[in-house]
Amino acid sequence: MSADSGVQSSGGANREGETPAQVAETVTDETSVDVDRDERVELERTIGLGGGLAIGVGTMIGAGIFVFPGIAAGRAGPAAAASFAIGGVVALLVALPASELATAMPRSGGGYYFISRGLGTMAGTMVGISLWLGLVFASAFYLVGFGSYATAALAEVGIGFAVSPVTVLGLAFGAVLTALSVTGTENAAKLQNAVVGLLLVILTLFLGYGGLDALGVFGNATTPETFLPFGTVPVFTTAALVFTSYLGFVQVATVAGEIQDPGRNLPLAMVGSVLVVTVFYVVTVFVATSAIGSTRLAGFGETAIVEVARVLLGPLGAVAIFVAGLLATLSSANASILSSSRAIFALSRDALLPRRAGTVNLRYGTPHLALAMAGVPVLGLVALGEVELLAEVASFLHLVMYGLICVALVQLRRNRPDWYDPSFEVPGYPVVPALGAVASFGLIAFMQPLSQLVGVALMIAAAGWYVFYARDVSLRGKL
Amino acid sequence: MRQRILVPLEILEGETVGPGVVDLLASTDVVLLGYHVIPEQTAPSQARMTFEEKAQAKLNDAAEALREAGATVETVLAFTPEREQTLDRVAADHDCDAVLHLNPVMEDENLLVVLHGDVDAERIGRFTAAFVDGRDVDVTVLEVTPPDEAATRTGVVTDALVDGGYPRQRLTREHVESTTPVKAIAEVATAFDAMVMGEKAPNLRALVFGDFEERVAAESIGAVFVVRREDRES
Repeated sequence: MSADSGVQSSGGANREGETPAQVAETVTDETSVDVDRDERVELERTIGLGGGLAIGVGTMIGAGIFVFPGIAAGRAGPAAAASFAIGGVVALLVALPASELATAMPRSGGGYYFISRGLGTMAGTMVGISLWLGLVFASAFYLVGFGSYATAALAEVGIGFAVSPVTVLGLAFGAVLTALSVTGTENAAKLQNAVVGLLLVILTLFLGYGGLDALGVFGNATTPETFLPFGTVPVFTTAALVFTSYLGFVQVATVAGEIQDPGRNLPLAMVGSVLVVTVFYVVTVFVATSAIGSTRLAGFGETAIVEVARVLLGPLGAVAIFVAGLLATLSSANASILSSSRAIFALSRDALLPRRAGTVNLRYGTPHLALAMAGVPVLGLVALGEVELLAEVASFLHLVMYGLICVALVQLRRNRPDWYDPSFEVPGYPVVPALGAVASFGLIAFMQPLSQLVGVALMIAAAGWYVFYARDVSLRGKL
Repeated sequence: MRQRILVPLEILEGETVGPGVVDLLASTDVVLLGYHVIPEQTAPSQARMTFEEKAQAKLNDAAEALREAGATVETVLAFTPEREQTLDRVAADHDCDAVLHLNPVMEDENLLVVLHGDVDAERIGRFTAAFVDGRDVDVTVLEVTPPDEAATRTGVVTDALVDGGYPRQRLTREHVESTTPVKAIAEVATAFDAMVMGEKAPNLRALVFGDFEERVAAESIGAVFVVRREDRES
């Protein structure tokens, strides 16, 4: 491993005597370059703005449109649209500070990287492990959503089952995704971009028509129901639940080391994807509650949006939304497993997990151990099948990281290490990061007690791991 | 003038610079690019952490062999999901005149210069003249055209060679009419140790079937030098 040149090196060894693998990389628009002892090593950057947006939107859009509208409408009525809007505002308040940090540190690992450098090893370990597990929970949640769509689709063509096959289908496809990611899938990113593009087209047509219909262009405007049938508190608890729909934007930062022209593309991809999905979510809930009313919507559960399409556009619309839902949930699950393995790599690089966890095999060129450490627990959680618990724990673990991202930004701005030179600066400092932190932690307070309990238990376990394994590793302030 | 040549090696797949190629490159400036292609689910920095040491050692061995033969060598080790992007970028970064596609050639006695399609004959001529300067090598200039079209550009290359001091009597000019240029070139090329051709503008065919040069290189047994387009270097 190369020695550090120029930048101060990290110190301390973990329980197995491994130290953080620090390399001085010069970031250009197209590569990260390390020139050391006349040996020049270059890491190609291959993801453009479109690819970055596709990662963000592709990770997020599966949940907010295809899984949550029915559940959310059951909890908050038509005001579920406001819940999604609240989620979008919170996400935006974090996306801006995260963008600044990402342009200052365009390295793989995203939120984990910022926090370990801004707030030190303990906070870093806790966030790194909760990012890993948060993505595992999120991926399991998407797979259960996928199982619901597949089951409903099978029922649609007349294939019924005595026992609901949701879990079995989720498990089967989770195993397939993990196996595919280990053996290497060619052009998966191009496929993902195409899928996201197709989804946006289907949704734009569907929502465009539905929106005009709701406003009365094709006949009578639908009679609005009471906007707040259950009061204001459910709006916030629902926002906490559906926040899982906004977890994708920091996934853009986990591949920051591969994004071309990171100073420009990282902020655009992160903020842009949040704005895009917020608009889609709010319009979806508006259209859905206008078309069939929140009570009926709630009755359809995870696949409620299919019924909305059936009412508005007939059987063809329902088929289109079935296809879109299957694609969207699967692509979200896949993106989350891949991002989770990146988090494990970032931890192992910094000696917070055994180095072996991040190694790449020569045969497939993939990090098989990291992918297994992400994929196998996903299957365990799918078997659990608790959609709302999975969603909230995923959000909990991410929200802790989001709050700390905002804190890390303030910390780095105040200490300003020499290397801290972001090309994008958050507007409205320090109000925006302060609000971002308060909103992130605040949203956690509105979750179900069980989700909070699981989340806190996982954070304590992560802290315990730090004390046991990596107490002597020092990362703070070091690039 | 020494020519600067990019030599890409898929370093962990066991690709090496054979002895014949080492001789061909003896009087050039070599940019030796050891690359490793990784799938999308792997971060380049992750592959680097696992493979850098092994790859760098292999790259240094290859560089040493070239230096002993008299070439100057710069090495670059790259981890990339996109081979083409890396080759193009490194060639541009280092201002290379040509990119070498390796094949198991063992000799350096004769050289085939191929003209086909919209390539820059003058540039190919200049490159070849500089490349053969001081070498004991026979040169054949081949132009491949569609049926019933005249060969018009072989003279451009032979003139450049003669201007550069190459003896005209060692030059051969050939013209082949063919509708399947890749096959036609590969057939002629079997009798040659190395080949020089020009890089074409990217087109739809290249998108579907791969670069023309790469397809020729895949069909050939000798090393193929692809002279880079001028407009790419801006």
